[in-house]
Amino acid sequence: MAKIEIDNVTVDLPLKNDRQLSIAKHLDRLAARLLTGIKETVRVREAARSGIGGAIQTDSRGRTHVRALRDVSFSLKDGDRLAVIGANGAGKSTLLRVLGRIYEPTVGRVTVEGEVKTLFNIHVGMAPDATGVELIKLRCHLFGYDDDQVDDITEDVENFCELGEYLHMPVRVYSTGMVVRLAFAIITAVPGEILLLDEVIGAGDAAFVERAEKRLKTFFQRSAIIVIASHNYAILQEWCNRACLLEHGAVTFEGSVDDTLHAYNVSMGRV
Amino acid sequence: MSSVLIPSYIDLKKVLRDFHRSFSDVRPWLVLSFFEIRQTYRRSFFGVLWMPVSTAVVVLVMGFLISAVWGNPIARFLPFLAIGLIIWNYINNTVQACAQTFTASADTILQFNRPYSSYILKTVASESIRTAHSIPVFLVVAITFGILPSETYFLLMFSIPLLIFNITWMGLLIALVTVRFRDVSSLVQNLFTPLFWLTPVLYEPETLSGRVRDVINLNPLTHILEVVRSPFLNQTPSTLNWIVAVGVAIVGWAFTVMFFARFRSRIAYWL
Repeated sequence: MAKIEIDNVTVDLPLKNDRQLSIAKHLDRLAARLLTGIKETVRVREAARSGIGGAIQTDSRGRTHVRALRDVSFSLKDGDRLAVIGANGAGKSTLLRVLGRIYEPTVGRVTVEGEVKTLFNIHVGMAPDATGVELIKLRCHLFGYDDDQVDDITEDVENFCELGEYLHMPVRVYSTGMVVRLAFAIITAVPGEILLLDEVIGAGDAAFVERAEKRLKTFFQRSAIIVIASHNYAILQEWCNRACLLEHGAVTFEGSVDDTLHAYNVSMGRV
Repeated sequence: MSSVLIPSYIDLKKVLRDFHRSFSDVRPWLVLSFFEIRQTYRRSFFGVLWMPVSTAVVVLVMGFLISAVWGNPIARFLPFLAIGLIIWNYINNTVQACAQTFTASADTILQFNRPYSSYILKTVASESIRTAHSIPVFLVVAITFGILPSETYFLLMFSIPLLIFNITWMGLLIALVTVRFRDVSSLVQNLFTPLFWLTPVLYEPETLSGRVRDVINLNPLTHILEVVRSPFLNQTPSTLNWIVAVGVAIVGWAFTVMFFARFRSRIAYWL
């Protein structure tokens, strides 16, 4: 039984402004406070809303944050396949990272029951000097599979990516498409109960894309809950049975995939 | 209108869970540490053997030069220098590598929910393996000059784990601070040069007197080094050495755990 429950989740992302983060600036502020004895007045501003992204805020200590998620709540149970729809910067990736227990929300509660598989960036862990086989084994050990499973997975990946002899050569000599094949095959070798996908299908030749879709199908069928963030609406329509629309970090619409896509188009002024 | 929300609680339970997860499944980070070493020496013929080679070169050149200039008897000085340098480099390299660990693993951290402590343990493990390759250099030098392993080596059963224990909190603390303040890694790098001169690696503490000796004794690294170095040289570390080394481990870990508990949930956001 897999289950996801998120309750009033808000996430503030610190802005990685190098000047903001420098020690010098902090010392400056500390010195000013010590010398004048005055604490800076609270100055919270909400940046003018741009078309995309969450609200930008600066707090009393000069720290700038983006409110990437705002009061998001929903629950998912076995069989739910949720499509997350939204413009760039709407908070889709942040939401997936919250569900994957990578970002701990600033406010709110997250309950995730079941083994989670994340598929955000297929290039993670592709060390250029390692051979394909080494990378397969490494990934298996990282996920704690025992030796028997490792052999099965290796064979499965070999069959799927059709790289043959190349699997024993360093990844550095692979073409881009070959790297994608290997990375995709490794990451989709063992399904989890909960699958979180962030815009990963793409590169690869036509034959590969077809095979990749077939592989994803069996992968999907073995997962109890799927959450996909994508701009590929055909995939969302085919694979998801519910959807939510994220705008500036808030869920503004929930419903079927078709209805949500319609609401999205309306809000973008395309209908 | 709302202010930026930053959780500011100390969550010890989650820190314990983080360590528990790392230690209940050691294979992932051990495999990664071996993989990392293999990566470093991937296209070199001698591989990790470069480690003892470079140690030997430095020890011989420095040893003969310094004993010529200061008139130290070479038979006594060379083994002393060899083991001192190996331990110093171990501390220095591990702490520097830990400073980079979280930022270098950003992709992995942002995709997989794995305990943060496992990244530090991975770095400590690979630096330990590297250092172990240099120990034979010391043994060859020591035996050449007639310092044969004796019963003081049994003390190493306590002092080496104590050293690793101390190095690990230093590495974790610096890694945590570096994620937020990137300058810290350069700061630490620069701090280690004066610290090297304030730690009796190139000179024997017995040759010092008066105020200089007091200053050297105020440096905790002096004692952390001495509890490991003395047994290798068939000497017993002083009570002061043990008290300081153990005390630093306790105080250091207490502080680091509190610091980790306070900022653990922020690491992913600061990457």
